[in-house]
Amino acid sequence: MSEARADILGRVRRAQRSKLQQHEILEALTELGVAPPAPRDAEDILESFKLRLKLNHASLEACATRAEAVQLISHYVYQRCRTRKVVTGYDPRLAAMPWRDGGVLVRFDAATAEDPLSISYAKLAIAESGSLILFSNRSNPAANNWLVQDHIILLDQQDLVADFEQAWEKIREHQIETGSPRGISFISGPSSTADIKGHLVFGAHGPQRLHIIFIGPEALPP
Amino acid sequence: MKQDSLQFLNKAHDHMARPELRQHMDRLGVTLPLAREQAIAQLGNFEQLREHVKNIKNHTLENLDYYLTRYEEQVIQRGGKVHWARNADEFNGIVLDICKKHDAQRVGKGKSMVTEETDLTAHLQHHGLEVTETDLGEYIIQLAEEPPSHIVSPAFHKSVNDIRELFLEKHDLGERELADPDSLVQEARQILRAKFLAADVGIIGANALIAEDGRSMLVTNEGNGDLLSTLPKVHIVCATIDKVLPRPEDATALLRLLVRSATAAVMSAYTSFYCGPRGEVDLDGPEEFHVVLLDNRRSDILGSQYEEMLRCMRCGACLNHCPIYIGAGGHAYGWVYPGPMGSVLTPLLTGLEQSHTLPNACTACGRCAEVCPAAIPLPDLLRDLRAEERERGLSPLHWRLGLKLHAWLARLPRLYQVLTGLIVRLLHLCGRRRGALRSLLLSNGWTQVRDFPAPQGKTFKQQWKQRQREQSRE
Amino acid sequence: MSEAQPRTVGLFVTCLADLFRPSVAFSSIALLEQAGCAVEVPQQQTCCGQPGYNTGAFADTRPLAQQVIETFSDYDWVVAPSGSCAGMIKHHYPALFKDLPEWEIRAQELAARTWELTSFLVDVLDYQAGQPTTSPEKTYTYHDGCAGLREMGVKQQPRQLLKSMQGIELMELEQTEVCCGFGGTFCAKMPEISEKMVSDKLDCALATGADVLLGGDLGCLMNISGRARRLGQELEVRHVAEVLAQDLDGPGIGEGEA
Ligand code: SF4
Repeated sequence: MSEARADILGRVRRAQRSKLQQHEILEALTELGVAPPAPRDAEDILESFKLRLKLNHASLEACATRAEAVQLISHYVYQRCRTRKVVTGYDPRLAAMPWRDGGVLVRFDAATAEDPLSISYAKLAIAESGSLILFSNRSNPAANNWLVQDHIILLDQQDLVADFEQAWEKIREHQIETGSPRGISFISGPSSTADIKGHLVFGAHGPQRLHIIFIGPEALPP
Repeated sequence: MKQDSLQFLNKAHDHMARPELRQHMDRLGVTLPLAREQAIAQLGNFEQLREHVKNIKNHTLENLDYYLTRYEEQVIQRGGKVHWARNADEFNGIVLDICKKHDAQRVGKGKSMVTEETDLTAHLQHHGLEVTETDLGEYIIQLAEEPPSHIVSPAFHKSVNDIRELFLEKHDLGERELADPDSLVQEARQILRAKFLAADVGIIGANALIAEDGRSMLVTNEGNGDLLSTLPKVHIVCATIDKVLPRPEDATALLRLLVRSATAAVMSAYTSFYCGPRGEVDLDGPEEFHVVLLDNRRSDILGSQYEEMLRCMRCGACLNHCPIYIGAGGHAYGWVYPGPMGSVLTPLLTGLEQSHTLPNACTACGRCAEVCPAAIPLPDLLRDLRAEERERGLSPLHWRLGLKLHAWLARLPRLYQVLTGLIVRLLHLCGRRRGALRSLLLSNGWTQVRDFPAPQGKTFKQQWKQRQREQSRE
Repeated sequence: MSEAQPRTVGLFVTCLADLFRPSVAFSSIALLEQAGCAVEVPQQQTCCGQPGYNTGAFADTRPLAQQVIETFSDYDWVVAPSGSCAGMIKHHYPALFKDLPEWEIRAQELAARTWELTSFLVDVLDYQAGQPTTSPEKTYTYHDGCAGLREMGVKQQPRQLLKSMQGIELMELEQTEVCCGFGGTFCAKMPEISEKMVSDKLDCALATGADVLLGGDLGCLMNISGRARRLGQELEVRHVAEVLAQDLDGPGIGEGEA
């Protein structure tokens, strides 16, 4: 290994106060625990999630089944982009959806700069921050999140968790089942910037709009 | 970056001589703290969370070698490479070598204070690479050929009109209006999109490095860092050794404080955790993944009386809340980091000889420490730096002597009372009519901008004694 | 505490009150006595050592701190009509003796007994004055000194006292928690920036339309009144103790004898 590495780590070792063994370090860390509970905008996590999405400038529609989701998407895609073509990753959940019924033409691939719109299926979502969690892998190539103008993310009700801590627990479980992805992204709104005199402008580099389709029995208004 | 921190007062003067800029900064100095206050109130348990994150950070710094090696192992296991750089030259050399190895022509850069510190862009450009800053704020100041004036919003000092004129001049796109921020952002998007697609190498910073899984946390609203982590065939993450945290939970606990403190939002649009090159199952992603870790005197700060500074998460709240930063402007600080955090870091990273004016740019009002999400006692650290300035004889001699004299006199109460009694009497006589003196010997700094209120008459102690005497006589 | 045996307060006069504005010290004594304390003013006191301390002259400051610790060792409480001097004693003295355990203990012991005037009256004595007999003739605003605010937790105490003792409702300053630009030696080392800060503060004060600006720290008040005088602005500036004790015969800070 490099001289710089040995040098830096040597200096660090000489400077740092603790000389603990590995197991002692881990014990000390466990003792510190995790952060105190995060705030939520509403008692109910679904309510809270919805509120956050709105504040994050994302739009939301809800339906009870994936078949209905296809109809919503079909409508959104046509209204927004005057197209029937969308790109998605190889998520088995997306692959199994009845796209033809909605007249949506799906290409399963990584997005290119020519794709106006992509669809992803969230692994998880977080109520505390209104975030959708996506893994960057075959099921959702990273380009699909950032190259398009419109990003639609589907979410199953059972995948909504309260806070970051619960999300990481679930992420660990997912990684054991399906392997560890190159990237994990918390998406919490369209691409934006306030770099020009504090004005909030959307579509800085990535999507101008973020649209969430929430699928679950409780999703519909009573 | 070329440093001229000793010119602080001159540069502050230049800043204040521009009324429009001054007004603009003044407004931000009011609105940003207000917005932050609301965001922190939404959090509900700021003190508790700040304490937790502080403990985690301290624990990590106390065991830094363990967490750094753990992090490195994880990166390697995921097919990435970790490079170590002791200083700016080594750092720039490593990045250049990686670019050269891939015959790179074009580099896309995300926001990274570390690369500002090493002046990476200039180094790569010097060796013939085309380097484009992709964070909109950074892009604007790159076009303007200016250094950043704020660590979160580098173009903090630019008005809409400044940016409009800059774009009209630098983008060869013919006649157009560009009257509002929307059209400016659209134009930048169009120009920068081509840069993303053409970049051979993507260089980004990191808000935290996670020892447990080798991932680095990248927080943006624009998504530029994500595009750079995805499209170019080589991906380089730049970070300093103090950025490591044990677990992903620790990174997101810090995130709760960081985003609210930096932008008053609850969450950034994009928070991503990357590690490694594309795998067999991936449809996109870089072919190579590198991390370059910079020390640049952090290992000196570790274990010193300034260690707490290593908890800094670069949120910029101390800048927004510092009336001196708002008054003097970011460029006055003359290097990469301005405001209270810069006044501590700059001397530590570049030496007091180059920067000893900065620790004096503080009234010890304590507002920065109050809002700092890392609970860094900035005014105390600045005072310690002033003590070093003094010890090394860098502070002005007349100040040192004057204060020595004062300390000596204050230890001799009798003499002190007699002498101050005389001076007070004299000042009273000179100033009693008007109530205040327009000028005063040895007090140029004070009387240059304000009158000196005259004493009421006799000192309290003289009056008190007199009173005691009278009482005992009665 | 029992009425029969008043506990003694050692008044830390502060060097600015001693030299420039004795009325602040006399007002403080009057207030403390009204509130039932026996007040003593040790004659050995000079300065708390802030000027040197803040420029980093720790070695020169220690003897001054030791002098204060000794001088005030016998009082039940030590009270200062200044947030910054009280803050110096309470927070910075212990830090100054980190390496001298014997003195560190004594410094901490003094720190535990040390209070800023208005906070002492409200938080320690729970002082309830009688109803004000007259209604205020002038209008008032208030400047929160930084050390009082952040080191000593002084915010609502002076407001509460002004209301209950004098019937004064303040016209609050915008940006009241922003520093006035005094900062001890700062104002002389960086006059131009200090000027901007004090001008901003003065603008906020004038914008309230109040006749009088009050505050709990003479450093800030001399800074603000000095700037007002330089600009020829009409603003009476006083220490809050003077108004609470109704010791208003003399001119305000920086004003001439009529
Ligand atoms: S010192 Fe504190 S407030 Fe300033 S940038 Fe660092 S973390 Fe933020």
